[in-house]
Formats: sequence, C-alpha cells, structure tokens
Amino acid sequence: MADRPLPWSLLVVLLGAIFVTLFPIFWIVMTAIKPPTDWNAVPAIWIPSEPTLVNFRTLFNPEAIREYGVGGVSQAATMSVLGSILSSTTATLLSVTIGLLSAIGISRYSSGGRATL
Amino acid sequence: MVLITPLLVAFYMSFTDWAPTRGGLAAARFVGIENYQELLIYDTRFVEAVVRTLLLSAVCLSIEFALGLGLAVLFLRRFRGKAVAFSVVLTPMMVLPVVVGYTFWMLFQSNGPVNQIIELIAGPGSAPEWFRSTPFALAIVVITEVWHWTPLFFLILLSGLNALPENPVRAAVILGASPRQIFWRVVLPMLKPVIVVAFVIRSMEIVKLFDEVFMLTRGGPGTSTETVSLYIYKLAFNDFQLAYGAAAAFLVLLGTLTLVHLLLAPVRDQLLEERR
Repeated sequence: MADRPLPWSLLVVLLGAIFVTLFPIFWIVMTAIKPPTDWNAVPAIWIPSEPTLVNFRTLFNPEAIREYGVGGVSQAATMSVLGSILSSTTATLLSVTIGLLSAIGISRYSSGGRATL
Repeated sequence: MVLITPLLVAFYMSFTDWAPTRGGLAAARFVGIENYQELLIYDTRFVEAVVRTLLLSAVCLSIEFALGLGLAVLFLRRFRGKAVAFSVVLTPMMVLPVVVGYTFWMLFQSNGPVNQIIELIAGPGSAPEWFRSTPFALAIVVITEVWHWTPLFFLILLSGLNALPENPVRAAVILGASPRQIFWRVVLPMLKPVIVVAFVIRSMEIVKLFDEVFMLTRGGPGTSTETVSLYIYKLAFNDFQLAYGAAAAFLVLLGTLTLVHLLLAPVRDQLLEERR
C-alpha cells in the first residue's frame, strides 16, 4: 500500500506536536553552544552569533571556561560519568539477575507470590 | 534480608524522635505514633503537599493520556516521514529529568523564549511572570511533566493498539458501525488492560515527582507547588528531621500501594489468568 499524504488538519496537529516536542531540545542544544556572555542575555538569544564548544571542553577540563573571564567549575564531569556507568551497570546486572531468577521461580512453580503480584 | 533490613530500620526510626545530631539510633527516644499523629492532624503543609501531588497527578495523567492516545491513533495511519516523526515524538522521554527541569526553567523566564513568543503574538506586556504566581507556577509544572512523559503513554498505547486483534473491528465494520462507534465501543474496551497498566506505571512515577519541581520552582512561590517528595526531601536534608521524614515516607508508600492496588483491581484477573 502506498503512503498517502495525511489530510491537512492531521498534518497541522502532527507538525504542532513535533514543534512543541523539539523546541526545548533545540533550546538545550543552542544553550550548549552559547558563550558565557549569551547565557543570561536579556532578551534571550535564540541562536548564538559566536557558537563555541568551550562548554563541552569545560566538562572535562574545569579551567577551560576561564578564557572568557568566568570562574571555572568546581569539578570535572569525568568522575560523575564513571560513577554513573559503574552504578548503572551494577544495578542493571544485579536487578536482571535477581529479577530473572525470581521470575523463573514464580512462573515455573505456581506456589506463592503470584497472588501478591 | 537485604530487602527488608533498611525498611525495618526506617520503620522503627519513624516511631522515634531520632535526628543525626543525637547520636546512634539506639539513643533515640521511642515516641510511638506521635510522628504520624503530627503529620496527619497538625502538619497542614504535609497534607497540602499530598493533596497537591494527587491533583497534579490527576491533571497531568489525564492530559498525557488524551494526548498520547490521540497521537497513537494518528500513528495507526500510514504517511510519509512516519519513522522520523516517531523518533522525534519519543525524544522527550530520553532527556534526564533534571535537564528537563532546568530547560523549562530557562524557557519560562520572564524574558525567556516562551514569553518572547507570547509577546510577539499578543503584544508587549501581555506575558506573565511565570514563577511569581501560584497558578502559573503550577501550570509550568504540568506543562513540563506533560511534555516529558506523554511519549511514554503514546508508546504504550500505540503498541497496545497494534497488538489488538483485527477480527472484532472487521465484524463491526461489516455490521455497519461508524468509525466513531468502533473506536469507543470496540477498540477502547479491548485496550482497557493496556490503558490501566500505562496509568499504573505513570502514577507510581508521578507521585514521586521531584526533579522537575526541584529545578523549576523549589516548591515556590512559598510552598505552593511543593510535592510530597520535595517536602520530605526538605524535612530530611534541610531540617534534618529524619525520623519525621521517615514517617511521612511510610505514609506515602502506604498511599501509593493502596492507589496502585485500586487502579489494578478492574484488570487484575485479566492480567493474571491469561496464561494458565
């Protein structure tokens, strides 16, 4: 079956939903490449005139932001990222193992547990 | 043992007046149900937070359900660019709650982009100060929550719709039912278990609503957007009322359990008896 175009009313609804969905994400991306002077500008700046990657460098090197004359951040993201990876891996492994084993137990033997689910 | 020990300790703690500055838990005075009494009878801030969380949940979940169902029905059609639209609609779910909170905080600043759009359409001076008034602050919380979690409803409902058997629908078509009748009388009743599961998952999540509110309003102005989680957080980590906070947490747990139980009641048999 060939893809038919949507009737225009539904198309408007869909495009509206997509706009509303993407706007905050657009804002996140734009803020990420703004130099510090644009962060809190009044009125808010939509698209930075001088896009920069300094914010990303600052993530892993707290001193990078100082070239704009702004104080560095206190801590690099490296440790937090490693910590997240470590805790999420451990938690996933543990919960999958325990969950799998107890699920087998409950589904194979109809004794106990089923009703309390 | 691993599961139960922390729960038991916290449960005991909720019957004492323990605080971290008073030494070990053993040194704390046993006060019986005083904490619970205080919470339920005298602590209007707690009761208000509970009522507010429930109302917020009801409003958010209804909007999310309506939007999610609408989108899901839309996605049952075939149209060009469907795959792209599908991934776009699902993106909000993948953003961290803290980031969502911070982003919407930026968007709704008094001179932020949303107000710029409003002033462009409705003329200068028409944009509200979102974070200064209670109704607007609550509206932001609802908007943020709906933006963040409608995709989950959409995803669950879409997979539910796709998994429905086609024969009842065909039969209804042959019997001359209108599309509207088919939707309300045939499709929705068959979708009921899926809808209930979606609501259960979301309501367990939304009574824990914390990150977004914390980033957006910190419960303000005053305490007018404070949710239960935020209040308990403030009790435990700003006021160090850990025992009191534990009592509050247990009341919430009890409430959530009851709520989920009630929600599941109409479909429990269907969900459990399906496979013998």
